Amino acid sequence: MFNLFRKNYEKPKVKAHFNSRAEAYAYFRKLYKDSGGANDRLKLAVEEMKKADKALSHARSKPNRDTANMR
Amino acid sequence: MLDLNQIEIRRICDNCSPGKFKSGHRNIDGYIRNKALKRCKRLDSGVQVATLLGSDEILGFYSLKLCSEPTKLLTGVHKTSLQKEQHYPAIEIEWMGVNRPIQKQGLGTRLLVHALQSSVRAFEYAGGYGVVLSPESGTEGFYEKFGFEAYGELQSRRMVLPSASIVDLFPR
Repeated sequence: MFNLFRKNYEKPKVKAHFNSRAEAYAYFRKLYKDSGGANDRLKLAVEEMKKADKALSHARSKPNRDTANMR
Repeated sequence: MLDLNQIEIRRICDNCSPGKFKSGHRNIDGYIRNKALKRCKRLDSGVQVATLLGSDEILGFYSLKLCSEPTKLLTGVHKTSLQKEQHYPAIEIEWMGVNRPIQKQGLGTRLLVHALQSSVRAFEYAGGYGVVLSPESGTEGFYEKFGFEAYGELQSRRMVLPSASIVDLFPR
């Protein structure tokens, strides 16, 4: 009986089934959220870009001294 | 030495000049010289260029395009999540290049992050699975560092970064 059971036993296949694309994306979002999302290298690059954007907007708002003197 | 705090990334315009732009890849150089502005005006692609603040000389650029990718080449968890679909919607980084004298100083990373940010903004209006690209030979490692995964045959290699993994990086 036990052997018979073993013979017919099928290893369960892990498969995710989705009825819609939205479900698939929701699954994916959860998967990546659980794993911590983007990798550290990308997170660092994003932080650097935000800092540079701040510095750039500061440089833009600063009046050009040469032109200010000309006035 | 390039000061990244002085770099401005904006949409290509008539005033932008490729000057002596040379990235080391003929296709990329040809695109920015002859096609980028026309294609951007026709809305075939979205081309963003990096210039120094107050200058119009193009130091680097990238181009984005909406695309539909076949799912049959995907592997692993990507295939599992999209097994019922024939194709999946994505944004393709069509071209990306940096002028050779200022390569390896961080401008490529800046452009890539900007491209990902633009892609996330686009996904907010029209959803998509991820950002895809066809890497030039020798550039795969650069994209892998930021989480892109390669798939497909060696000759038609594609790389994908799921939007779900980057959406939290750019809060609304």
